[in-house]
Amino acid sequence: MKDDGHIFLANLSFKFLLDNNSYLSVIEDLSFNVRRGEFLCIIGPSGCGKTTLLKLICGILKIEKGNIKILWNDKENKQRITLVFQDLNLFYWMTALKNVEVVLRARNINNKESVRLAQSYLNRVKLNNYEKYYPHELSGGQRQRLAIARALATEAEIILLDEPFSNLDEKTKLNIEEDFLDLWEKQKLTVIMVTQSIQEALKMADRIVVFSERPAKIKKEFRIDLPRPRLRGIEYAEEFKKLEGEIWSIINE
Amino acid sequence: MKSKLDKKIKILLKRILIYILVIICFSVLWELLANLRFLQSDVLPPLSKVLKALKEQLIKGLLIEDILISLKRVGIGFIIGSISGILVSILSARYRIVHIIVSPLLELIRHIPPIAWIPIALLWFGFGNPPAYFLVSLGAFFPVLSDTREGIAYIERCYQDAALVLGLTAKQRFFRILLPQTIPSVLTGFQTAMGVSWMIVVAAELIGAQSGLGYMIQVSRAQLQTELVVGGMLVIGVIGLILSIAIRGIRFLLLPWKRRGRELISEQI
Repeated sequence: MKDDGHIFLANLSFKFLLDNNSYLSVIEDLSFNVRRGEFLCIIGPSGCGKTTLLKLICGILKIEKGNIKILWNDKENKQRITLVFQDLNLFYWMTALKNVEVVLRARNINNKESVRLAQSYLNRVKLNNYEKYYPHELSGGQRQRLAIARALATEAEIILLDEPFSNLDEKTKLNIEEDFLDLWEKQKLTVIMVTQSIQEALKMADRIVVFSERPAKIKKEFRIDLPRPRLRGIEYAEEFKKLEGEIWSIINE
Repeated sequence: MKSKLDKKIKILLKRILIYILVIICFSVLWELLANLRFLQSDVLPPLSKVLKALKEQLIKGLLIEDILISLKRVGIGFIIGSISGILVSILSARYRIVHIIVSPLLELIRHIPPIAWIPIALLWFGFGNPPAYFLVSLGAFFPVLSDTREGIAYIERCYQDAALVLGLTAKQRFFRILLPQTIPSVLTGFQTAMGVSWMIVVAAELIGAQSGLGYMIQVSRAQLQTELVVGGMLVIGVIGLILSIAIRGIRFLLLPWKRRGRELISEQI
């Protein structure tokens, strides 16, 4: 079961209509698969269509050409795929608890139970004691954690992350990454994460896909077999440095 | 956290105290001026006489009656005006054609002061309640309309996207995502509309009614009861203030996320 496919992208293309009636081709003939439980990182220059790709996969944008097939594990759950936005998009008019609770209520969980459950999701991302805070009262790292808690509350089997750990100081970043990897492993999530940081990708991913400039195409794929857990100290390993150099040269090609 | 709250309460108490002090000083000054006999008492009656006249009116039950009548007119007009304001703004946001047709008309009409509508309202609706309802709803309509429109314009696509990938239901997306984003502006509209409504109802009663606070002032003038004229003005001012505080209270209750760290929120939006 470990190696079976989960997400299949075939000949996906996407264009934006510009003001002057011309098209901007963002994605062109893109195909790749993601395995069940895999942690896939996408690295590419900014503006190359990574965010667009995530939006296509989770259904915010309509697919125009090609197709995306997902073999769901869970036939029951309504929201089986979710996205953590780069800007997080936390609901600023709700407390941390409500931000999570509203997701649970959507899953038809009753009022009383949803409060208890929301609390447990906040605990999972170490936000206990912050349930009554509004997003603007939380620190950058706490907001990131809240966005993750909210995504987890959907009980989706696929989580897409759009540069979620940028804009954080190194220490906070490391802590959140560690906690997220933990959740990924425990809950057997399939994850696609877009990032700008080669190091971050190397520390977290099973596989790294390097994208070209717009329109996005796959330049090269890397399987990362570095032993886990590998968040702390691995950057000094020979193997790590070698891969980092290789990816760097592919990006700069 | 607690000491912060204590500090806030202290500041509030201090403010109220200053308010009261200013009002007391003003009252004393008024009383003195009126008693200096530079002015005849039918030009500026002393505060004590005004209060006495009001008290008599209160005991006779006439004052409460007038207040209730004016409030009822404001209430009904305000509700009609603001509901139609909200409806029109939703329709014009939803349907481009409504927006195209309605915008130029509204732009024109909104620049006619509601008071200028009084004569035609009297022609159309006669005397008493109906013209007052009409005028008040007209006055409430425009502020609510323009602020609700602004609120709708502030709705951000990104929260709808988030709601979508979090699996929120259509009902939730409306009540939990769309509404909270527009409510602040709608309430601002209500606040303005309430002020306008109260002004208009008095104006309408001065000219075209046989009851209400405006009418009471007018009748008292005719009977040369200056202290009741001034008393009526005072009552109008106080009730206007209470209405405005009430709306602010509703705002406070409905927008809990604006209570703390307001400056930070405005940064985020």
